[in-house]
Amino acid sequence: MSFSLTTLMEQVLNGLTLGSLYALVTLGLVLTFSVFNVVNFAHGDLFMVSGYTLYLLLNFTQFPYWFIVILVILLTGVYSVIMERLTINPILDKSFRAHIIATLGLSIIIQNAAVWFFTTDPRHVPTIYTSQIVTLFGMRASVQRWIVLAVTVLVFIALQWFVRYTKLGKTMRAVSQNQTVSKLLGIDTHRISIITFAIGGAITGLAAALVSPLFNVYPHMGSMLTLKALAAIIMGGMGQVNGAIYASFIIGMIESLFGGYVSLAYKDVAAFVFFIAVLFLRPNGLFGKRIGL
Amino acid sequence: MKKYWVLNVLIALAILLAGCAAPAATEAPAAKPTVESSAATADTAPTEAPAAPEPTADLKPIKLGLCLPLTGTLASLGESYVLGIDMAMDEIGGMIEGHPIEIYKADNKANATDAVSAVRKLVEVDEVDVMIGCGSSSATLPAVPIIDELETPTVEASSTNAFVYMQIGKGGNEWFFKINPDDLIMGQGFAEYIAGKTKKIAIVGNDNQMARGAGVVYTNQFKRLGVDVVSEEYFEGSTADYRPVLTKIKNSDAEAMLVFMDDQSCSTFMRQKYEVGLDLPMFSRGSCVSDLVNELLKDNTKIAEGVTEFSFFSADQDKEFSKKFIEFHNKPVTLERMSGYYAFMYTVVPAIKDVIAAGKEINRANIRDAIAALDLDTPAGKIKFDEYNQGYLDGSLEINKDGRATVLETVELKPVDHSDYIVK
Repeated sequence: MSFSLTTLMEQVLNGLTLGSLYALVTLGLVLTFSVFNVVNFAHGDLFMVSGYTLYLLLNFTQFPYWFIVILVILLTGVYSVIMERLTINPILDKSFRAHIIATLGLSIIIQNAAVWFFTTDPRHVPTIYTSQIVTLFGMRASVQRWIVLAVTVLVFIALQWFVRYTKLGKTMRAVSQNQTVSKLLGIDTHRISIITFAIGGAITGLAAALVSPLFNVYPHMGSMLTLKALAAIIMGGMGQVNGAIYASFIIGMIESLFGGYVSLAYKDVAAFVFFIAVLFLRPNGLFGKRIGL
Repeated sequence: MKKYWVLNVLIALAILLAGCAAPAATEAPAAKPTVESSAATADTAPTEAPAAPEPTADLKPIKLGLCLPLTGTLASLGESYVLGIDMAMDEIGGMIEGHPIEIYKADNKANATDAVSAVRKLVEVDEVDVMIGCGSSSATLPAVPIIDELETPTVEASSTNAFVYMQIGKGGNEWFFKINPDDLIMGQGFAEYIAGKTKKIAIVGNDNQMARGAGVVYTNQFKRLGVDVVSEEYFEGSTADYRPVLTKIKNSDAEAMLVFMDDQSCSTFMRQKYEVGLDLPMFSRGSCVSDLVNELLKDNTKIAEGVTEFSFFSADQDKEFSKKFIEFHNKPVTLERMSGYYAFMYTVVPAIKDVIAAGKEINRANIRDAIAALDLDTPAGKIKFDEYNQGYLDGSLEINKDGRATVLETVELKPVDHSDYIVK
């Protein structure tokens, strides 16, 4: 294939839209990770459950899509709090291994429950925007995809404002820096834990409500998303929200350019080789200790 | 410690649910005998029969093993087989000539390691009499030598990698039978059909043995027919974004695409093809023309319009099955759903009936011999094995039209010389 600037532009924009997809999924996970240092391997499954919630609401209610998005956001916030209460809160002060085993176990439960209730049949959740095509900056994409890109930027800005300028956000930052001292200063860390998971869940619900219509919903859809989100978090600097978002876009860009110019089969390999190289050269991640919550 | 009771309950639930999704040994539900053909003749249609034998408590159960992908990216393939077998089990009342059928499942996850473990578990632990599987070429290829070693008759109905053919039957595994055609058997005619429509083509497929095997067959055929393969791309089944490769093809000089994909990947692929505005004719050897794909794309039927596929087990080939399946499961028919039904109802069941009718003991060797001797006319074609244990069902050229998979032509498939098949 001869080199063409138009093709390069299209591939870069493909990378941006793919990166925004990863970023939206990563945001929910990095928030809980940055505050409580809990690696939640069931995060992708929360995304999957939200996808099925969207499927049920779209197919069995007459509500408009925007209202369904709000419902999915609220419900996923509730799912996330339930997850926190049942699985994560009891092990919050335990070792990293306990976090991994508990959340992996939860992931298996959720995936198999989804197989049990919904079977392995893929479900599509089309919205009015999935078939509407708009060309911007020379790239054709569905309105749904443009919405994902725009909302990612908006959510990122909103989250920045929230953690920097609101009292609750500042409290979360304090807990993220030192839980013990925060407790001594009278901060109710359990309440903060619930709020953090509720917000993280709500963002995951938003991601599922916007991203699922671009693909199919099926029980094992969350596994790869969790891996990508974790890679972005580690690459971005272990819990640095900004870093994780930038890393999500970098992963999207690598996959797009490698998939487009070299081989689609090995795009994940390329992304993870880059990930390992980053860890080798910068053990604290690309933005470790420089950009924070 | 108090806090850990929740964790313990969750772990117990995880184990329980994991067991539910991929059961180690699931016994068939005790079903009442309802419809059952008393004749063991090969051409008996397994539909309505007048009288059913009463279950006889002391008759030896027949153990059927299912080696299928039940989790992972091809989990829906395995579940589709099970849906077809469930319906067949209901039709025969869960027994063959009074012998209750016990079904054991093992998850091969469509990969080599788990396929070998699944076969060993079914044969050595569950001691099954006959198996169906392993569903996908990625699992079937590594399973064939193990099945040979363990000497258990096995029927496969969907793997299409041509290398399977070279390992079974004469001079190879005498215990393995394949009722569906492979890509070499189907490939010549379809490659000629495509060559009549285009001279520059891009190949895209899942990164698995089925698609890679088909890629070898078609690139060889296209070379012979003077069709230029502009690009050849494979991707993981869990890939969510095909836009990079679609953009690449859009900016190449390809005049058409040939894809090898499962239903789920293909529906997303076609949706994104429409999204990037890639308006090339699309040919398929896989599962891109099916009622399930059309169901997944029903919000915009234009997306899959005109896609042409060569395959087998098309819903249109057996309208009676399709009608019954939709009534029974309320789900669309797919190739693998027919595969499960045909492997069981038109191969395993008549073979065991033949064993019983001949007054022989129901054991692995006798079931193998009975399968090898089958000569059945089914609505989807003939089930009669050649010396390489290969059956020759009819192929079908299908097209997606107005949101429906429509058969354009049914083709009687013939044996093909596999000796010059090149393995990459």
